[in-house]
Amino acid sequence: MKKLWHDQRGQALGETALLLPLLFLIVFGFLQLGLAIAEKQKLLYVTNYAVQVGSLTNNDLKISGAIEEFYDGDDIDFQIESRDGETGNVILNTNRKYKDILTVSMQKPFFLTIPFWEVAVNDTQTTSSAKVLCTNLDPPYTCQ
Amino acid sequence: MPVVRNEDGFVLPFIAILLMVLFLVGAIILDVGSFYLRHGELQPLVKQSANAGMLKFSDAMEIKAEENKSAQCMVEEPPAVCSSENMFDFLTSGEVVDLVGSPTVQEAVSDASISFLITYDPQLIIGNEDIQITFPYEYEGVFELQIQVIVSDTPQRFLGGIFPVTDDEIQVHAISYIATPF
Repeated sequence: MKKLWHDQRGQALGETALLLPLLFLIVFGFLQLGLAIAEKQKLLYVTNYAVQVGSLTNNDLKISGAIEEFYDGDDIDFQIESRDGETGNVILNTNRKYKDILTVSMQKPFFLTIPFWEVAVNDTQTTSSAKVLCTNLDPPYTCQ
Repeated sequence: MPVVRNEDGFVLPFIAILLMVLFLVGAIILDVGSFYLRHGELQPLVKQSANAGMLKFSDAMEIKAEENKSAQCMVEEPPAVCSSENMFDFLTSGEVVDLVGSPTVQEAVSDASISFLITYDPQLIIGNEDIQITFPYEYEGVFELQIQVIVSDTPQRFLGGIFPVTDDEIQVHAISYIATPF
């Protein structure tokens, strides 16, 4: 038994085996972090695009259509909010007009991807706002 | 050379160095990632705030045009132009120059931009001191009026700056313009 205790063969293998899970966790964590940042960047891009489309119309179907261009069939959630340009009060989206303010918020669950296993860990959320410009700049300034 | 040949505890220092390298890589991912995310958030916001400023100037022109229209058209036989809905039919280039030079209008334009930025920043961290507004910007006449908005922000740093990879502050600028027929 004493001889076995002083035998150093396979020591490196033992130490590596101890630390390998930790290394795996760290490398994997950074990989997931990179993926989360990329996912949020895409969501941000789509939110901004949806707001740009929405600022030219008071038809919310065009906004959802713009989002579906990127996330067709995906598990995505979004809210459209319109505020009066003067008072800042929330108004009906269908009443959105020139110089009002449109805000689109989007949420998408982020999946921790481990081989053969996916688990939703958190929602990625982005928000973007714009003044409504409409395409019709003549009175009565109603959006198309 | 007993030290070199002794491989006792070789893996531990090796892993320690590897961990430091890995944390540095992680810091780069976080620093650069949060830099670009914030930049991506600010760019459209700043552009929209510049638009908000120019729309405020458009409001000032509309008010002036309405005043002129009332003065011209509140007569028994109003001229044919009174049926026009185009505000530029009731404004002169001199009046637009006066509006551009008016401190009250300039302040209103700046306020509209600043208020948009502060209210609609998704992270609600932009303050007055981070915003720089130039109106009129590159002024060469009233045929094209421009506003420039610059916003500076400090990106988040990994572990409170222990591994600061990106040292620059985020600076985003945008220009919006309004064209007039003059």
